[in-house]
Amino acid sequence: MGEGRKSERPGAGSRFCGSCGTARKVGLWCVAAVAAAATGVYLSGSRSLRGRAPLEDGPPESAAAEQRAQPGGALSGQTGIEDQRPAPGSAQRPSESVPQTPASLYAEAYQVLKRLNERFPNSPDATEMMARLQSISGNTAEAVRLWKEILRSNPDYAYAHVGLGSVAAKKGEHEEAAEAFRRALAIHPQLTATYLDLADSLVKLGRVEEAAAVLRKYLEMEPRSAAGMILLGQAYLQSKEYEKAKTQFEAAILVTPDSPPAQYGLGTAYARLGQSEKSKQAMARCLELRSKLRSVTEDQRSLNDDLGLARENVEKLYSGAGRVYAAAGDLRQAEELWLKAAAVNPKGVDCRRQLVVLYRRSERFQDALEICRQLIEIDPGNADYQRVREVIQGRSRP
Amino acid sequence: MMGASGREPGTGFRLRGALAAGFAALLLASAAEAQIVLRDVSSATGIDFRHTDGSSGRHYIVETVASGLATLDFDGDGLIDVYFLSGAPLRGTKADGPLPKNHLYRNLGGWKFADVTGRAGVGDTGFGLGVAVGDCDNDGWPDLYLNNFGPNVLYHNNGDGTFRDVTARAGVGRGNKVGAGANFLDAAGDGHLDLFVANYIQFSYELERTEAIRGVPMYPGPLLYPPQPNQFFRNRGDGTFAEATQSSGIGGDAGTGMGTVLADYDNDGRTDIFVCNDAMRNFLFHNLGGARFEEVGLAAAIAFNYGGAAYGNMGADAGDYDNDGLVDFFVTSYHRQLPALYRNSGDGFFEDVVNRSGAGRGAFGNVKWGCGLVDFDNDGFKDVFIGCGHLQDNIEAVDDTTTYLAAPVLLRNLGNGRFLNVSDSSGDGLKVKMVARGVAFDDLDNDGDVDVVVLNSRRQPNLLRNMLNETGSKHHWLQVQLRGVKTNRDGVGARVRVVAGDLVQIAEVPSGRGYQSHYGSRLHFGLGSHERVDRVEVHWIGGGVDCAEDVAVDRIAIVVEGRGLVPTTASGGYWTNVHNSGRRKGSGVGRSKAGLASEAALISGPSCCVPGASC
Repeated sequence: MGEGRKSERPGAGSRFCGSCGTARKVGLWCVAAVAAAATGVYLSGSRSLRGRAPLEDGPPESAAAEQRAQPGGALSGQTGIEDQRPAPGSAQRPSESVPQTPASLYAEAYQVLKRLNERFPNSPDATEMMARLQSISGNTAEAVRLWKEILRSNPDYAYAHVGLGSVAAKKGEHEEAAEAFRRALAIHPQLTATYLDLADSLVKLGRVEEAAAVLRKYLEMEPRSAAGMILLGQAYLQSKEYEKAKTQFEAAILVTPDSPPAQYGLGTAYARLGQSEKSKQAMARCLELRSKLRSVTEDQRSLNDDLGLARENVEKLYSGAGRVYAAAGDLRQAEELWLKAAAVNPKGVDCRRQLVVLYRRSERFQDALEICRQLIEIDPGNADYQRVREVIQGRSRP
Repeated sequence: MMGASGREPGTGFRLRGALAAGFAALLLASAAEAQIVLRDVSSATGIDFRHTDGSSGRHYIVETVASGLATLDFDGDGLIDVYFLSGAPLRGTKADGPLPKNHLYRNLGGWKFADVTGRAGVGDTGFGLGVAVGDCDNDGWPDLYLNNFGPNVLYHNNGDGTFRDVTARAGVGRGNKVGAGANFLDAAGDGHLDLFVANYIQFSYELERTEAIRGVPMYPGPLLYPPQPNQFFRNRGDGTFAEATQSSGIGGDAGTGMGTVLADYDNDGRTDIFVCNDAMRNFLFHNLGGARFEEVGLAAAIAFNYGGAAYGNMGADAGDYDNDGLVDFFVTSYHRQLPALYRNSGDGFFEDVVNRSGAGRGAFGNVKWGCGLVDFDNDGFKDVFIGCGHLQDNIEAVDDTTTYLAAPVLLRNLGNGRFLNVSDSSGDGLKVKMVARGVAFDDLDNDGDVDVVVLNSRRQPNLLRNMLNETGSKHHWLQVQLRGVKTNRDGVGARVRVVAGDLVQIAEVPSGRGYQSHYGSRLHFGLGSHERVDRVEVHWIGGGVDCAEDVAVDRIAIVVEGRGLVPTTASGGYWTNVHNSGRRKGSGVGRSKAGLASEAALISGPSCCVPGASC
């Protein structure tokens, strides 16, 4: 299944979405989902991320093979891992100089993505990366143009719909946003984060019951998502289902005890249920947490300090660009970009996960272990990193 | 006159439900007849004020939040005048020529205004942010309080078209803080207006913060500065005030105050204070009596928006948008944020219903400032007007989803708890790109509909004339002006309840409102197709009640405490202020409907009893 449609549109980047179990075409990011599903190694935790890589073997090479097999042949001649194995120890090399201002970070990212698009002019994945950069840079008109360009040749490219939805949402065009998110999910139901976007738009439209239904579906897929629980709790508050709201906020607090909105929601639900003492406690906790978080709130960061945000954004762009190269078989370039991403964002997870996969598959176990060490340092509570490290350690022994 | 101990708390808690639903359809049909048209008449008014925010080039945060304005009848001629606040040069500002100052424009009638700043003596050159209007010495003339960045000013109205600065004697200078909204209110029920003064942040030039988005210099946000507690001054009744910030309970919470508004949210007969904070939780100061307050924003679920977020709140208004007898609050916010419409549940809680009401449609993408819950089409339901315009003058360099200049948004109340964005079909006044800050709403031409004045940052203001009569509206109206005798002279805090058939409305006399502004001292009630008002009740601060029945419509009614509705002396003008009888009359231009109303004089029925009052 799916092969027929794939052959109908031979443009680079259209792929069969194995994770959906349907013959649909999705964007680049689905490759990782396919890989993760294939390996069964998902990293549980927070809200799912686009393109989050599995840490164990998966089929990225199948995507690369698919890409290589496509007409145009630009990628033909690219070889596999063995041909391009970088020198061991690159994971521990001092990172190259990283731009220290948001403007220079984005300027460099633009150059990287420009080269990517020159290299893969027919790749919707490459175009999508550029669209995302344009959107992040505040040039949403250009981003929209690029996403629409993708959709002209790949109507089922889910992430272009997501992108269009995100711009509509920014403008307050929530009806259009919801429609775009729905289209994306119809193509690719595993785009879990998009359920949250859809629910948010529906809430803003006052369609709270619809939003609640979307969120319940989302939580079936991401049962430990605090963001989903909080949004669902808020939807229940608005529909005056206070007991259900309380349950959601309590569950969210178990996952993220330091969430002010969760505490506030819980306090509100308690108040509505007549449990004033509990309400006061939750509200007091909310204020305490807000006070602690004040210097790093999203509001403040987005308004006043966008260097951290720029690092996160550029890291994701480089990680994505690296995947485009990897899918085309150019692992050397992919590794370079993932290392660059790691240097840009010392707390970046996505790029490091890609590197672990790359190093493990190319049997560069020491490099893989070094990246695992970094991941554990970044997110010490994530048991998956420990487990993967143990697996790699086991395989690295003679 | 009747005495009452409170405000019918029983009856006030929910009139909605079947009753409201029952006549909603009728009102909808009625509302459909009246199209709102706001025409931009700015250029022909003679108003040449141009606002400055100081524009130092150094991106001081205070530049972004200037300024408010006031609409008031300062000379008692029955025509509502306009007072604009202005910023002032800041450190580093290139200033040549005369210092910018606040301006007072006297309404000459016929949409003509004359600059009387010099004669009136109200041209303060401080950095103006907020303004409150109130007759703080009960002499019959509204005074002005200016909440500045820097020393504040209290202008006493001399009653002869001039004011004098009495700040020092009154003791309300309040130091060198960054101000915000301000309100006069009788917090203790002693007949004297006390003063609430909101503050924004702790700012000094030494605390300057510079910010950038992707390398583009930007104004910083408020969270980079320490918050500042608000202040409260008790009126001693002798022309002086005593600071009571701590003893009143006001000073216990530091915030980033912006818009403030008064309302008796719990129908206990005492005036409460709502303060919307910028990127912090909002405050609701519940009046406990005796000029003591308790901050209950969190407990009342009005501290944050529906999602528990502290938005960049700007302006606030209060009004009963669903005519259920309870005062609700509307709050504007930053771009990519919905405003909040806090519906009063009547049980001590509020619920942000902005999503399901649609009261934020069309405004999400812009920074939102001055606002009003105002009935523009006289259908008996309060619509929403939102002034817009970004605070970053270069925002488009980093974000093409919003704009520095932005048209206002008008949301029509459909009478069923929902609002419809009618901005695109409500006249050229809704198409003007503005950089709104303070917005005021009053009937500037006494024709029975509410007009709009928008103060624009760094620009000239806009005056939007409501063309309701010209569009053939058959809706009626009643405006009510209060004259306190035992209570404060202008009736600030008093609640008026107007009953016309199934249409029951309440409104309270404000002081300080919207975005650091003042408007609406003369209460306006749209009546839809009702041709008589069955009952007008005035619930004065302290419990006194005046009432009249079978009141004629399409006129301005004056209610004097203890006397009820009083006939006006019409002698060629619109009406003559009873208290100031013998002073200058209205100029008589542009009479039309209002002129007829005044000539017919007020017809009031016998005084009437209200539940709980001793008749």
